[in-house]
Amino acid sequence: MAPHVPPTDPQPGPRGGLPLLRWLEIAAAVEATTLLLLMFVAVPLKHLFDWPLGVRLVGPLHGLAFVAFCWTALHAIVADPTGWPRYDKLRIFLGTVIPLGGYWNLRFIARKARRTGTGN
Amino acid sequence: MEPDLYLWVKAAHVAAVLIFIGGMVAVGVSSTILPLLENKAATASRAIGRWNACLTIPALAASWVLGLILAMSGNWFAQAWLQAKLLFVLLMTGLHAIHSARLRRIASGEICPAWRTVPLVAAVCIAIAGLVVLKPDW
Repeated sequence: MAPHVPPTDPQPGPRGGLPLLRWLEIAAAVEATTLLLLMFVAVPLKHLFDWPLGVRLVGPLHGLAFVAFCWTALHAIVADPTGWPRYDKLRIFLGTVIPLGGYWNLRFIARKARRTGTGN
Repeated sequence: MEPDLYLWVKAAHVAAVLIFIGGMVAVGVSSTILPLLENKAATASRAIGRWNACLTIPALAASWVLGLILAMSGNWFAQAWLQAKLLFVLLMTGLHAIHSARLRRIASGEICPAWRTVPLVAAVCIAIAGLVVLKPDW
């Protein structure tokens, strides 16, 4: 049986760090989770139980997670020498504004990583 | 927020922004110069990329976190000057993501065309400074 050869990473991180698509996956998971927490925990707590602290904490956290995701996505798109199809570019940003769209993005990024051989 | 703590957070925010802008100008100038270096471009871009990863990206993250804390403490989110500033900051953040990606491509040996963005960075800095200091009441 031939020995297992790990796929080469077309976009390795600096000094062998995480590949870009792995960073993008982490950023998408954090963005999607903070949006869910905001929509289904913090906002109901504010309006049903008059507890605004949750929104005050999770709101800015989600804002930061959103900016971090957009930075990572833009970075991954431009850094890819093969270029992303226009539909892929559109859907990755669309996924951030749709509830649960972040998880949809996660599956898409994992598929893309498998296709490009980033070996996630 | 306590007045003393506010001043410390503000000082840290200004420091982080200064470091970030320094890094932005450096990657902007690199984007213009590196394509002219030909065989030395990959080595030079790896060195600039390390500086970018170790200093500029953390400074960008710190600028965002501290800036949000300041905006929340002053309840300024509804004010037009802060919304306008946020648009400029988003532009700078996006520009930085593109520059960092181009550095990575040059480091991998790709030849990228020269890209002159330093005048845009300078113009955005002037606009942000004006908005923050004057806080125009639109």
